[in-house]
This record gives sequence, C-alpha cells and structure tokens, in this order.
Amino acid sequence: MHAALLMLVDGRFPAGGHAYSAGIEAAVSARDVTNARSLERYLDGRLAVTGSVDAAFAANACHALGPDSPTTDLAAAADELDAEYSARMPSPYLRTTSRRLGRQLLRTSTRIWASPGIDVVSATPGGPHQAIALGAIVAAAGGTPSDAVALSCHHLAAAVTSAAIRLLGLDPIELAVVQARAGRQADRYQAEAATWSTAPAADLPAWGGSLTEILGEHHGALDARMFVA
Amino acid sequence: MRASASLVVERHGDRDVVAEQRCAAPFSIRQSGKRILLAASAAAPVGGDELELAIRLGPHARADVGSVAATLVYPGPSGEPSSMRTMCDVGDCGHLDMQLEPTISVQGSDHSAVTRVRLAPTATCRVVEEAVLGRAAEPAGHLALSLRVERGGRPLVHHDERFGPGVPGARSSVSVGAARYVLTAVVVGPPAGESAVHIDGPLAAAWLPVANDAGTAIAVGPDRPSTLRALARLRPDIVRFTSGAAGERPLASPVG
Repeated sequence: MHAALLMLVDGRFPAGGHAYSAGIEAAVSARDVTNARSLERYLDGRLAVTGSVDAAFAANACHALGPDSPTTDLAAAADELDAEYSARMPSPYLRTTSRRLGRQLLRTSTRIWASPGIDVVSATPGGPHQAIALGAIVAAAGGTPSDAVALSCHHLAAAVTSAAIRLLGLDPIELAVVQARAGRQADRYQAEAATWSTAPAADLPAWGGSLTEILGEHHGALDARMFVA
Repeated sequence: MRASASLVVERHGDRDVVAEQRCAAPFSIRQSGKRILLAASAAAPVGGDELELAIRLGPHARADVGSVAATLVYPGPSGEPSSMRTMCDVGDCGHLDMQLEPTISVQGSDHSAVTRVRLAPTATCRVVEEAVLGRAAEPAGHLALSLRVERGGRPLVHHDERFGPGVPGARSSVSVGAARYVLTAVVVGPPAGESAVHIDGPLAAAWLPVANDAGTAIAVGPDRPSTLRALARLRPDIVRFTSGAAGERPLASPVG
C-alpha cells in the first residue's frame, strides 16, 4: 500500500469527518441506538444500504476518473456519476452534506495530489459527493478501486463508532471490536470492486433506507445538534 | 409462471385511446371510466413467477393506471423467488398517473418488484408504490422494491430498498423501524417547493425535492390510513381523498 493512502484512512486527516456521524446522532435521538449491540445493528444496516452505494461509487470513480479511465471525456463521466449518486440520495440536506464533505476532502487532498480526475470532480457545481471525490483521490494517490472500497467502508464505520463514543459514552474498546467485525463486510465488498469499477453508473447499487432519508432530512432542520449529519 | 402484459395509450384529438392492449393470465386489463385497472385473473405472484408489465404513453397522452385489488405475494412450493417488472415510457407532454393497490408481503415469500419510468424531457408523472410488510400480526417475507425515474435520459430518483426480518438493520432507524406500511412516490411536474418532514412516534414521512419540478415522498408507519393522512398534510397532491359518511378516507385512486 502507498504510504499516502494511510493518510486518507487516518481520522486526523483534515477532511471534516469529525463533524459527521453517518446518521448516528439522529438514531440516538430516536432512541434506536442506545448501546454497543444496537449500534452494531445500525452499522450493519448502514453498510448494506448507503455503505454499499458509497463503496460502489468510490470504486467506479477511482476507475472512471483515474489514470486507466476508459474515456477521454472525464467531465462527462463525472457528470454522470454525480447525477446517478444524487438520484440515490433524495434528501436535499443529505445531498448538501455529502457535497460539503466532498469539498472538505478536496481542500486538503488537492494540496497533496493532482490529476485530471481531481480537476473534473473539483469543478462539480456545489462540490462533488464525498464518495466520488474519494474515488478520484484514491486513484491519484496510486490506489485501486478495491482500496477505494475499503477506505469508503472504513470512513463509514469510523464515523459511526467515533460519534457513538462521543454521544453515548460507549466503551471505545468494545466499539473497536464492533468496527473490526464491520470490516469483514468491507472485505466482502472488496470482492465486488472489479464489477463496480467497470459497471455503467446507472447499474451501480441503489440500496437505501426509508428512515435514513427521512431522519437525515429532519436532522438538518434541528438547531441543537453536535454533528452536521 | 412467466407472463407479460403491455398497454399503449395514444392521444387522438382530445381523447386518450388505448391503442394496443395485450395481456395473458394472471394479467387482465380493464377500463373503468377514465381509469385503466389491472386485475389479477389468477393467483399471482407466488414463488417462481416472473411477471412483466410494459406501459407506453405516446406524446400528449395521459393515463391513470391502478389495480382492482391489493397484490398478495405468496411463497412458492419450493422457495423460489417471484418478480414483477413494470417498465413505463412516457412521450413528450404526456402524463402517467400510476398507483397500484399495495403489495402485501406474506410470511415466507421472496419477491422483488422493479419499476422503471422513463419520461421524455417534457413528460410528467405521479407514481406511488405501497407495500405492507406482512398480513395482520404476521412477519413479512423478503421483499425488495426498486423504483427508478428518469427524465430525458437522466436519473431523477433511484431508490431500492429491502424489507423483511433477515435484512441487515431490519427494524432499525436505517430501515423502517417498527413500521408495517411503506410508501415511496415520485411526482414530476408541479413546483417541488421546500422539503417537509413529519415524525410522530412510529410514523415518519418526508417530501424531498430533487429538482425544481420533481420530488419524492417517502413514508413509513404502523398502518396505511394514518400514514397516508400524515403524508397528505405534507404534500396534498400525493394522496387523494374522498369524503364519505365515515369521514375522510384515503383512496388508492385519484378521484375525478
């Protein structure tokens, strides 16, 4: 693995991830997540829906916007990915948050890496979705679609567990074990990376959760909150 | 059983005409006033069934498509899954209004329902999908719903969701919690306005604009009437009501 990729895994990489709980704050407010067991159920559920979508789009962007891209029209590829990803995230607030995270990821990354793929995602109106920006950056850092899948799942699992430690005061050691078990799902997704990286964007996973979108939109309207989403 | 049906509606002068209609059991297509109703002429779907319905609206044509009864999805004799694909194409300035009665996922069944709506650049639609997770006091089977609406070749909404006891995160706030009724709708045409959310215990509903003139409604709740009433308060044009002696009662079909 390239040493540079380790920076993207590190929670201390300044990309705004500390402000993101992947819906845990809303789930805690709804008393759906109260302990390590219900947190693990939430994380398993989240990995199966938005987690698979993010991993697939990161893998696809890594290939389509990377050095081995099958197209010379990178802007058209980025535009198609953006439209397909947006269609899978109907909540306007969650869309805005995803683009904000993408911009924050680019702000640091563009000081480190440069590529035509990063240039086109940087030009996305409102900012690129985080998963798509991540794929383009992983490619520029010398990573593969499989690396992009692992990183995407890691970001989700880390956001969920670290937010739960802050919101519920759960035992960090116990949650590290939960996060390691979630890693097995990420490993299974890595086997999909080759398929996801070359599939037409329209055919990428579109699994969602009704309450993920409803509670995500609701959370955005709250004044008193610790995490943006 | 593998079966398919197709329906073509065209605008002739000031009338919408069913120009072509082809169906075989379990499908039967009837016209009732201005509505086009699907009726099951055999018990379906059960495990192993693969059903496909194609609906095409020509330019300026309008169609109001419903069904006469809820669809009960049963397990098959040897556990195979069943599937239903609904493919809709709507020509320029056409309008598709489609709300079939709810799909009821019976314990032990394994069903997938895929709906694809392709709108020409100036076409509009109101498409509502409803599912009930198990009959009264019964756990649901496995149900996967996929709804994708495109306009002018670009995706507006693509929402797939799995339901049932074995789904990761089942009964959590990722999925539908304790809800037994779920609705997804896509409305294209009227100004989408602002997003709106209503949450009251197990009942949660949201109107989520995805474009200036398009949005999706997602709602989950303990039962159909209370969820539809909550959704109607958020966005009246998604659910249509009729007044009766028993008070306001949601109708599956639009009136008038």
